Amino acid sequence: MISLLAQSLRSLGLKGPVALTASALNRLRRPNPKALSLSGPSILSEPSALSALRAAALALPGLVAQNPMAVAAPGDILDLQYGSYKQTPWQLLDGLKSQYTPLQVDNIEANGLLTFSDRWKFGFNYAQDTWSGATPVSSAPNALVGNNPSAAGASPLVRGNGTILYDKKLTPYRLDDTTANYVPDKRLVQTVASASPEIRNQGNFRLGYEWDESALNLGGGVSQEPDYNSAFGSLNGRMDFNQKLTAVNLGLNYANSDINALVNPLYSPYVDQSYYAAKGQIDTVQNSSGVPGHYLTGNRQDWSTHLSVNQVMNKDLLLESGVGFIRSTGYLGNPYKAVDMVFVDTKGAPVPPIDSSSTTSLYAPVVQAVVERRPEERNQGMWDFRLVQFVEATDASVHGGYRFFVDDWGITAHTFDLDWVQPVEAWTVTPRFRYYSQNGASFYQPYFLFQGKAPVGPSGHFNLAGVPLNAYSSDYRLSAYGAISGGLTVARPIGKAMAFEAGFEYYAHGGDLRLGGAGQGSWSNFDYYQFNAAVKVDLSAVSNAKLSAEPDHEGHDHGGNHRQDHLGMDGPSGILFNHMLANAGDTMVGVRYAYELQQGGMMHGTSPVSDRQIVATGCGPTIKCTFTPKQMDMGMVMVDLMYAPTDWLTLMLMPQFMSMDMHLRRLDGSPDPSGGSHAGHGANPYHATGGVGDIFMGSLFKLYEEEGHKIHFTLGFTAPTGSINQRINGNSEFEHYGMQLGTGTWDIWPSLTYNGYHGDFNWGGQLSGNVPLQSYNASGFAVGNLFEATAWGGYQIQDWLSGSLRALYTHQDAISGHYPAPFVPSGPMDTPQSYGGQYLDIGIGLNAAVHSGDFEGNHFGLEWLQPAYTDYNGYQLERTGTLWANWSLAF
Amino acid sequence: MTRLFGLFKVCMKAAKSGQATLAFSRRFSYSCNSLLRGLLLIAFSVVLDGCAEVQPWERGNLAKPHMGLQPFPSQAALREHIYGSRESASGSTASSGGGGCGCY
Repeated sequence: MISLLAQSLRSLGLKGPVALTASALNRLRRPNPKALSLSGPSILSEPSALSALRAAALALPGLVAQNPMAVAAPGDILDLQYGSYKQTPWQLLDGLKSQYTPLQVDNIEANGLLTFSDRWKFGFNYAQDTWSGATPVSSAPNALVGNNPSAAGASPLVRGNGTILYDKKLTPYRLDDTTANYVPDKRLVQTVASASPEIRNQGNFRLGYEWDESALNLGGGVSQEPDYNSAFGSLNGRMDFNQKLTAVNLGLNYANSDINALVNPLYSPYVDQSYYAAKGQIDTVQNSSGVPGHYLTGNRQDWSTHLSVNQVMNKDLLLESGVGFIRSTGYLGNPYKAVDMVFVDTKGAPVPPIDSSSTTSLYAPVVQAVVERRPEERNQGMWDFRLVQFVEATDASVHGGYRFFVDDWGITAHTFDLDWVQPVEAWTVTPRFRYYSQNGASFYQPYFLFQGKAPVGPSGHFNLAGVPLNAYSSDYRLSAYGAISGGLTVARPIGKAMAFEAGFEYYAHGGDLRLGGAGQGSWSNFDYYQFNAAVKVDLSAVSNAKLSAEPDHEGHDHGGNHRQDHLGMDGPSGILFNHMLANAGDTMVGVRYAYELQQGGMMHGTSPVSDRQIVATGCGPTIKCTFTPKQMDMGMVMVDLMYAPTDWLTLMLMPQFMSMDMHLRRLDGSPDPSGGSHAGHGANPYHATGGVGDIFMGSLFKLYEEEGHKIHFTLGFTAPTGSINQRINGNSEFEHYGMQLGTGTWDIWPSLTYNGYHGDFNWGGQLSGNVPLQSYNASGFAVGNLFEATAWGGYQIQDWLSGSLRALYTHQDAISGHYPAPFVPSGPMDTPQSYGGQYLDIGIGLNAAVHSGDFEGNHFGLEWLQPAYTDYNGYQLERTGTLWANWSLAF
Repeated sequence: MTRLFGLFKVCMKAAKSGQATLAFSRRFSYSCNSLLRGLLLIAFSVVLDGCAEVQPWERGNLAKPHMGLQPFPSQAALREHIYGSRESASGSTASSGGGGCGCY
């Protein structure tokens, strides 16, 4: 019966329940009369095995009795995950690596699945990716970039520097430094460009209804990033047959995406965009710097459908097989990629030979870079097969899969993967292996070589319409190659309701790894490392634990602690370390989000300041400022993990994840910024940074407690895990001090907190400081000392809702130290003196707590901090306010 | 072939009703069972003996958390997103409903 329960749970196909049902099952195996006391004393007297059986039967969908103390369904989870992707530097040639920082992506994600009224399932997902670093624009003959090895890849020389020649057989020749002669060179190389960091946000939801043997799910969401906005929806259904031994899944998805990408200004003048310009897909934005920005716009639509069948073959084996089809239409290209078209007129005049003894006729080609163009339609089909086999000998399972993919761009691909999931005591260790192979698209070439004259129009300029190709791309992802990756995942439950997972993978892309060989050369090889970590909370285990707690045992104390818990957790959302956990063994998980916005005018001290004054004095005595921020925002996600080993000590770990962006504008009356890092971006540059911030570790000590009052002291440190090496565009200028992701130093963070309550009122105060323990970090600076004092009062509006009002005083010193030379500030945001100040803010907040029912123990808070008085150091952008929001769950 | 299709339609109707009594659904699920078994046998007959009838009390191993089709779903979704950005073959879009790009 218990295994039938588990089988039913698993076949519900819910995302994520599987790893945690073991704990639910264990609970049901142990007799726990209180948990089963649903309808009277007769149940309590049953033998324990039968009680367990009954509970299992009752927990099956459709059979749960009406119960005021209903538990969250097994499978209800909340999952917080962090992922990091780091590519190794691009290979150029002769072992030379690109100087650009390679591609790096940080990703955070929260998703949850909740059950309402036994049958309704609601799932939500929020993800944020931040990526930065260099990617290839196109590929070209090595000879195109001349004989300077360090120039290869150091800048996107898609135009070439005129030193490449071809012979009659179309072999490229390079001017050799040492012999001053032309030598054949057939090698190819990537031309790599760096882009500013970008942030993508995605939110999606799913609503489903479960019948006894089938389910229907409706989902949708949006994804937003500066150059790509997408909205998508999905519908899928599942049917179970044969006592849930067989399941059939059918899904339908639709996505509609808009692309609006700025063609990189560093190479835009050299790249032909006439095809898209003629179609009206190029928007040109003029600006006062005189550098026009070309935006490539497009729309794409993707329809896809997938049908799969899962079948239990025997007591140890599960099989799955499916087919899928995707149809994409619209602009399917990548606006950041270009191709090099090379035209060699072997019937024309060869160049005069340098060395009179040379007998080979060499011809000067016409080289033109063109924005890539892909077909406007793509139909893709796939078939996949998966098996899961239990291995009795070691209590492990083997997961193997194969997927075949084919499309009308000429690509066929095969994917093989193999995982071995091995439980080792409380841990689960999973080594994994994957092999992927594809052949190239029919319109892919590393570069496009034509024998004949370059087509020119009446004006004598290159005429793209004369090129006999309808699609062309040098995107290495469309080439023929194979990839091997291997990794390891470990997982472990923590306490009653949490589980921790971490995984690592190394992936290598190689032209020669293709099935059957004959892939692209090693010039397009790359590899990456990927790491992820996640914390999962089993919401059903939390509410089961509350059910099985014995209220009469705790009696009056429980009432008192109950109130205290609610009091503590209902402090204003913007206050950190506001409460301790009341009892030994308590755990708490929470997520806190802060959004700080600055926009409006520039301020100096307490009054506005003119652009002229900033230009003259904002960047130091000798340099004139050219840019200033016009809008800045910072988002911080903090995951609160608290555990109380005793009732007077609570331990806390708080990883943080930051995302920041800044819009800049030219200062009126400022000199020409040419040569600076902002010059290429037009008049309104935009920067973004994001990634892991500093991680906080601390302990909270109870100092004093009596009825109605509690004082505790927090001692914590932040470790410099947040990057202080963020750059604008590759390896060039440092980002502005405020855009770095951490302090770069170990900091000490002590605070003293007082909480009081009486009747429907609660109040409190906190003093805290944050002081760097080092004089400067690896980038040469340290943030200023911070001191905060805050006091608040709250009122219980309803038994589940309370409001708060508070005042916050902050004093922060300016940054000390500065970036190393040669760093030239372009505005006040680049000067250490323009950071910090004294602020007085007023906060107004709301807190909600769920006291009973399926989601008891969940707390939510929201607070807005409004600046009332600010005295800014140096020249800073006006503060608009900060929004705090938090969720927590104690168990 | 038409008989098979007719059987399939009957199975779909029975599953949709949901209110069917046990006897009713057992009868129809038996028909569906044989239909699906037939289809799967065609697909897997080369590799395997065929399905065995697994009684509820024999499903202990199948219930283990690591025997799920995807024991680490959020990690798998993250890795599929990365593979999709680096390779041409799309992953199965049934998992997250597609959409978004993040196509670095």
